[in-house]
Amino acid sequence: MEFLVQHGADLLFYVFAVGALAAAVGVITLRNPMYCAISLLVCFLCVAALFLLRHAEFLALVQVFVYGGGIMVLFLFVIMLVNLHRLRESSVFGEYAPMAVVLAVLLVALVLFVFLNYDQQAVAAAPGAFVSVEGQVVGNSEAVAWTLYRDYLLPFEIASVFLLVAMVGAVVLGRKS
Amino acid sequence: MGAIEPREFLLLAPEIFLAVAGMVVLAVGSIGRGLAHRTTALISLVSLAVVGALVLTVQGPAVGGEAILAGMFMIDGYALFWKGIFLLATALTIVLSMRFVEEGGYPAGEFYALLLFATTGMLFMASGFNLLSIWISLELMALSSYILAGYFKRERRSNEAALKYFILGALSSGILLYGISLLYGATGTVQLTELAARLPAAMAAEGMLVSLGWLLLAIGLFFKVAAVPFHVWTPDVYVGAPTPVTAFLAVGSKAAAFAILVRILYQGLAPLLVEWQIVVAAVAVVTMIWGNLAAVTQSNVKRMLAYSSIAHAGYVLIGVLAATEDGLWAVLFYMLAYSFITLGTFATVILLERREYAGETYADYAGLARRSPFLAAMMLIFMLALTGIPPTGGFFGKVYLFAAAVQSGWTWVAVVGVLMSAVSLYYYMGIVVYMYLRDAEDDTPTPLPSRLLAGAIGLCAVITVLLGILPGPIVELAKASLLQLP
Amino acid sequence: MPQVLIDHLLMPVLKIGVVVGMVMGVITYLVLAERKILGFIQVRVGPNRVGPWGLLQPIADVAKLLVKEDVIPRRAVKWAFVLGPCLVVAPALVIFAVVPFGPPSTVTGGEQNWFITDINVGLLFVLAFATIGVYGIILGGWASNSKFSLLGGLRSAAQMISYEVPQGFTLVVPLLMAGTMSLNGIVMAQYEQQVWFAFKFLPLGLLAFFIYLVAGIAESNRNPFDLPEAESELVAGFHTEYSGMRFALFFLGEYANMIVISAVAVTLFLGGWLPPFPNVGWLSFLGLGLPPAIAGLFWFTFKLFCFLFVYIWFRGTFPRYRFDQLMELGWKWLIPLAFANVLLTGLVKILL
Repeated sequence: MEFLVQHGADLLFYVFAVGALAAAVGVITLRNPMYCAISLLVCFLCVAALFLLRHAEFLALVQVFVYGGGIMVLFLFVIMLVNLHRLRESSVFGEYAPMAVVLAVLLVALVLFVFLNYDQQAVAAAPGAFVSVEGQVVGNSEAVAWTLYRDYLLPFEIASVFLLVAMVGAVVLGRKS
Repeated sequence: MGAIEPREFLLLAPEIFLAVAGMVVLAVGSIGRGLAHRTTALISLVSLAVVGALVLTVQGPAVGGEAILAGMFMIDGYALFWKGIFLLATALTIVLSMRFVEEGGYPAGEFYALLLFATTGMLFMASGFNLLSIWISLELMALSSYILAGYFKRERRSNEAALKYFILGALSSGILLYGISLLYGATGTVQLTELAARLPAAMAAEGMLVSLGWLLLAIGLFFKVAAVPFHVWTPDVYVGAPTPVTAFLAVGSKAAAFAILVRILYQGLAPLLVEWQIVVAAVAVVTMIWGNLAAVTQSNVKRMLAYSSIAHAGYVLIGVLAATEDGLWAVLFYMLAYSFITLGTFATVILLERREYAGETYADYAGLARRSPFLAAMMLIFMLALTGIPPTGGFFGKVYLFAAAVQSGWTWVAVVGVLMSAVSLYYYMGIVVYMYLRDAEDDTPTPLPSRLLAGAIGLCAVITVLLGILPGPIVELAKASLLQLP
Repeated sequence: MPQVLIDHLLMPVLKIGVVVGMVMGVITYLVLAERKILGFIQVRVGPNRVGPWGLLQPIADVAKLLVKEDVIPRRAVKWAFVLGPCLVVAPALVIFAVVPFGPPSTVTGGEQNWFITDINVGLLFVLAFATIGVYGIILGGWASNSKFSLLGGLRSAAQMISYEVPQGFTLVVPLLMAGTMSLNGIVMAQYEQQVWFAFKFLPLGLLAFFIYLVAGIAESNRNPFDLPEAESELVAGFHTEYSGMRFALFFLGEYANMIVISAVAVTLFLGGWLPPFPNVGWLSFLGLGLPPAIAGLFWFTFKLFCFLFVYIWFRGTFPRYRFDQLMELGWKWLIPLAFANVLLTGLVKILL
């Protein structure tokens, strides 16, 4: 009992981390596109749980709402609409396998490097992600809001014009003239 | 970082106005079906003029070099000079496009709106003082350009251009962003002055990380200015895109990419001066050689101009390389001259195109001097200017660039530049030879289909020649628009 | 038992048990109420054979569904077929975790809050879990391997995505008014500002309430937006192939969703557990002279039932929308209205 109370968060971390990884592997190995999409959804949800463990409630729920509720539903929608059948049997990476292996090894090496070198004390001492503004601990939503609407206001606003352009482009290029 | 003051939004008025104008054009284009072409073009031109006035009146008095919006947006002479170039380039592009869009039967409102949005991105790029805001404004410009490149969606070449541009552009953006993220990881900031301040310490602690970061960042930027070996997208995109869009890409996008390249190298990566000078020198030399040699072999005029624009990116890099005041104002002067020359050239190509893509081979220029003496004369001026022969702006531009390089000790790069300019004489004069010395199959005079377009060509030619005779005022202006040097 | 376990395990589990039990009970009789009210609207009697006034009808229904044969079509994707109904019910029940049924301990002076938990991103929590429910319908429709089910699932996906947007945006209005995303905080804000948010900044609050009402009905796939299961076109939509207990789960999910949406609407716009007109002196008898906790529970439940009645009323009186009309209403009317409403509310809040 004592153990659970003390290490519950760590245990949960491993549960969701393994879940996220397994689901991510599923996304690229499963044959049926529907299963791939659902694996991706599971992966997103696990990542949301990981956010939650770092006290980033806002990010976690936005992750569920936007990725889980919006984007993945659209994915499923398209998959159901075009009625994709099982992908033909073929090697996952095909002729690019050597390159994929090299890149994967590099990535793993990078992650290991970071993992072995980071300053554990500093990370443990840091407050949870996004909970402080100018030293004052506030809610996660407030911290995100301050960051987005004050420190990074300009990129945020430019991004909105950017999305408008993306929308206009999709309509212009997509519609029958 | 404190709260944002209302004054800072006022200083942003030109950019905000332009973005809103883009939306208005979008709305007008979808409401007014029949009159949309003329109306939207007119609204776009007027709003560009208003933006120009706003830049001068609102941001002009604040050129002291003030970073607003939490250090994201810099108002200085350097930014204002580039903004001037962008606004002029966009205005001329709109004039170039009017007939094209109308005859192609493509929706006009969206076309001009996308141009305005792309210009908004460029204005933000010129003032960007934080790698993040620079990156997102670059994306705004790039995304609009991808769509514009594929605007003639019934043409396969246009589709191909858009797709290639998009995929390679996205790749380069990814590389750029990766570089930024590594730099952020090493220094903990993306704000340019802070970056410069923290780089020496970070370089000592995380040398690998910093080197990889700035290299990737530089590669991403070289992609955008189309420098060899990151130029592969350029010819296909320039040939496939609608010609006014090509002109816009060759002038606007390139200039904007140079604007941020110079600012990032000079202000953000200043402590790495020695390192990046070597890289820029190598890229400049390769770019000049490859661009010019490849241009020699082309038979399609737009393709030749694509390689020529690559070569010109090489020349400009010489000025960047110098990292002196002389180099910097030479870059500014050259980009201004180059904009007018290139826009004029493409405008002439547009006038000669009979349908969407015909009229692009050298053979189509045969006997042009007899068929249309005016166009031939204009083309002659532009070709002379691109080669760098007096009395044109191109001559002084190159002289200033090469001189700056020589002064700062990069003589061998300047020598390569001069040699390659000589090579470029071959293909530029090829067109002149066709125009003046070959006979056309039919000698009937080509009428000028559009007075407005002819006027724009004339204007570009006059400015090109004026810059070649009286470069003084623009040089003074450029000298007043310098960045703090590394 | 250590105190930490009581506080963090026993009490929450107890509360959850009570809430889920109550919701299930309400659902059972909500079905009966619906049939009775529909009967009244259509000038007929409604169920009246099982027990006095048909009061035992729900129990008979449940017994029937429980003992029915549970058919899984042979070509169906079994795990998804099984998972689908669960995914409809579970998120709806989870949302009750943040709904404040009664006042917090700061108001009652007691030890316990009259809700399960209060998180500072409650509103997002509601939205996030409401969207998960879509998967149940999509999965169920797809896994059935039947064209009617698939079409029903597709329609449902399109409909729910479309109406999530105005719903999400209109929820920003009470958020702006309260300045917090915690549902308890929003009720407390109405308590402190002495006004229900539906009537704040008139007509902005009312408009937000109206948009939420329409979008909420569409989100729970109820008349007049019940296209995913339009029986005249799609047999029974996404649950065509379901029978027995699994069908009952879909049914349960639909009603649980109705209650969730009603509960959220009551909380955000109609003052939650607050009695009406708490600021008008001579109307203080509306507090019923009871302790605040009990009065709060009463008013919450009363408002909830009024809202549910509106649901049923709509079903009895409105014809079903066509699919393109549904989309047009969502994208061309509700979303722009919701945008404008958020903008105006923000302006009013700054200017006042």
